[in-house]
Amino acid sequence: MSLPAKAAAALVLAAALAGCAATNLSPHTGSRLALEEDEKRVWLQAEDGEKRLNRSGLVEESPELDAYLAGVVRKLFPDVPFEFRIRVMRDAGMNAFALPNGAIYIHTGLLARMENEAQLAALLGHEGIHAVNRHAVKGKREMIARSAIFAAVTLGGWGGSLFTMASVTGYHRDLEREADAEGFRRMAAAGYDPSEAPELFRILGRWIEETGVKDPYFFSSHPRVKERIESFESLAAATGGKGIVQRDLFLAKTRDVVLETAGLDLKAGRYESALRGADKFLSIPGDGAKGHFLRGETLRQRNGAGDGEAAVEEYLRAISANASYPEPYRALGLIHYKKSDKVEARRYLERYLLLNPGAPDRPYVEGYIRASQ
Amino acid sequence: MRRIPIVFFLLLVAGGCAATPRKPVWVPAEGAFAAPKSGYSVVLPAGWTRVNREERLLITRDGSSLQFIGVATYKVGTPLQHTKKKCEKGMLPQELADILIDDIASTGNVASVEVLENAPARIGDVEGFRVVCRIRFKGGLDRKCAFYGAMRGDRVFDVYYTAAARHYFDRDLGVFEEVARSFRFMPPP
Repeated sequence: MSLPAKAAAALVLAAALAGCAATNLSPHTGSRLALEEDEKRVWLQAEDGEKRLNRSGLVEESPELDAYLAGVVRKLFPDVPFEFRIRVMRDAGMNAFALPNGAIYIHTGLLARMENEAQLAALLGHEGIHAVNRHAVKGKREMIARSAIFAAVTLGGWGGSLFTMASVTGYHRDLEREADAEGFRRMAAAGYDPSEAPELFRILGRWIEETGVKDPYFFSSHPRVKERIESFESLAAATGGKGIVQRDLFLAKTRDVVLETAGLDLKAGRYESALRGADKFLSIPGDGAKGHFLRGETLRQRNGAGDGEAAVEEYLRAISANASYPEPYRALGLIHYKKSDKVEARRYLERYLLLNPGAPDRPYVEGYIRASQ
Repeated sequence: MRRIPIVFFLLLVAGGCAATPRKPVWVPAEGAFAAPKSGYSVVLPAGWTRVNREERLLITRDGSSLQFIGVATYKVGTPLQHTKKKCEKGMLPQELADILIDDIASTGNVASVEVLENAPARIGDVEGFRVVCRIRFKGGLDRKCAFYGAMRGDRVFDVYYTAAARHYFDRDLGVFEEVARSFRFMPPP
């Protein structure tokens, strides 16, 4: 055997051993947490990343929502030796990810588009399995192993970089499939309705179609959405039966997230998404003033045929829902101001400032009132 | 000229101007600068350097990662870079300001935008607005940004200043205000 061939063989052996080490890692279950040496480093990095994320200004400060999410994940994983921490990140995109130390982050965009707790359980089951089944350290070991294989392939002159790349994708997808299947089992074992798992991915699929997003994080290197829907449908059919859906409680807990996501959609000029979000918010019991105002703002800014009139109606509905909510008065005042309807402009704008004496746009509004005298 | 959003000017310059094949060449900025096709002129401060490009103004004193001042113009009715919203004829200065703020907030790497000031202001001879905001990036870096804006004809003009929130922003805010005061509209070519 030539020297390069011997080196290649040694590296392939090393890679195989590393692969075995990765696959032999047992899940973190039971009462005692035992981390391997390289895994401790992975956890330290995760803790650092978690701190940075929590300081980023992106994470929602909502102890009530955090407690609700933590309660759901505890039902799914009653047997793990660490605490899951679920936080919500302000982002209209459809994403969620788990750090190896049990920190899970869900984007507001994903949470806002879910319909019930069973779908949330499907997501948390998937993400939780990444942490419990130690996918980060497995992935790291696999990466090291693949580096060795790549070196071996190069030394051996097989010209197989394409093979190496394919294996990279393949292994990662295997971990995702494992997270899908075991997360689903956790969800079903906790008593949730199995048929809601494929629905979560249908929602994701519809969002991809609507937005034209090619590579959202949640899907990058994941098995294809259609494939996952089919896979979950098979799992749900095999499991059968009905279970907990918990729609009303979930919607009540995530109502503010729905409104916030719709607001982000409006900022980005995604008017149709903003309207859907406002409609969903209004369908959940509670004060509807902010939902009507958001609808009004969206219609006014979209400025299509009939939108102006519809916006005025929404602002008036917002005032009917909560007469002390200042924003619709400002909006109506500006509409009248632009029409040179000075009396009505002044009436609404003065009311706005009365209700919101510290209004950040007071200098503008005072100017409109002066010009309307 | 397509408006280059404030927060991305930094990346564009720091990244070696990935959008164009040429690397930026920096020259002393001091003196009058005119962009006749874009329809404005300004007077630039001593001790700063300028990207040597016709019509596109970007100046810095300590490097674009620390602070920069620029002017951007863009056509009414054209979607902005990060929000799909458009500035339309007849909009009030406040509405224009809100759209530009939304454009910053919709930038992919921006975590949050806190508006510190937003008030009517004149720029050139036109009623417009002046906004000051703090921008927090997903990487954790805080920057502050001040900008004047106004619509004139079929264009929106945006005179802006962005700097590291600590030390640099306050130090060079006066320089930016001088540049903004010197801003003049030029007749279309």
